Amino acid sequence: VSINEEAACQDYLVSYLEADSTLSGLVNGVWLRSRPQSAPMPAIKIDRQDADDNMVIGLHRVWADLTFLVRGIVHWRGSGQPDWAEVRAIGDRIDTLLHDHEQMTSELEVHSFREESFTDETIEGGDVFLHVGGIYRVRAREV
Amino acid sequence: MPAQRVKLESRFPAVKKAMWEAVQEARDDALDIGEEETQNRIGKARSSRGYDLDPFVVNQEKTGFQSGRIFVPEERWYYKFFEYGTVYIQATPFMRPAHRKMRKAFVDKLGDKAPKFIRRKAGVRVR
Repeated sequence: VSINEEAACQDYLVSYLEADSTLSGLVNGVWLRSRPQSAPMPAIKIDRQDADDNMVIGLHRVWADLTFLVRGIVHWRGSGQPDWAEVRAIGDRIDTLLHDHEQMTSELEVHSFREESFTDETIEGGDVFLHVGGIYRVRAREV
Repeated sequence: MPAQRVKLESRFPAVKKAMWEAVQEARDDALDIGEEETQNRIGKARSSRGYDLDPFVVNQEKTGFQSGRIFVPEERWYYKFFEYGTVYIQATPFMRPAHRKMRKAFVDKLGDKAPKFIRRKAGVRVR
């Protein structure tokens, strides 16, 4: 039975990040793709960026080559210059967990590294949000 | 024994020119493929999520003799929110997948097809 590595990998990322006690102390949840407006902040959001399969002769899939944008988001409620300290701490922890990371689960063998840093400041519905994270390349193969 | 004349003709300039053109052709193909991929992806986001996006927002540009890029014009800066997603919007990337396709197309074209292309352009016959 073959599995969809991308879907399995998404699940893995969510549960791996949720299981970290340091990160749990910094955020109020890990969200995959969509995040309800009522969900408390700060939060981690995972967005899929791209996927590709690495195949060899016989259509044997060596691994799925996936990229995910993983970022911490903080709702800035202060005035004046936004303070990035809180969101930076989240971004740093994400990087500690996901950069140069390898793991074997019951269904996947995974390794990940940061390919590109990501920071942004968005104004949504009149609120200011600070984002820090990175685009992580995750290679996953079923075991 | 009668003297024989041998005429040597160098095809090196023609090969060099053909190689140059091979890279340009690979670049042009890659740019077309990349632009088309962004149109497909943005079109899909329009139909599946109802975003009012312009599928033809991405342009291509040849930079220098052999380089090029696809890009969203600066005045449409807000397309980055769809590429990366925001707090409430989920990402619908179109540039990154297009870039992957372009890279593959460029390498494919130069890897397997370049020697044939160069031989044909430069008029080189292999015996």
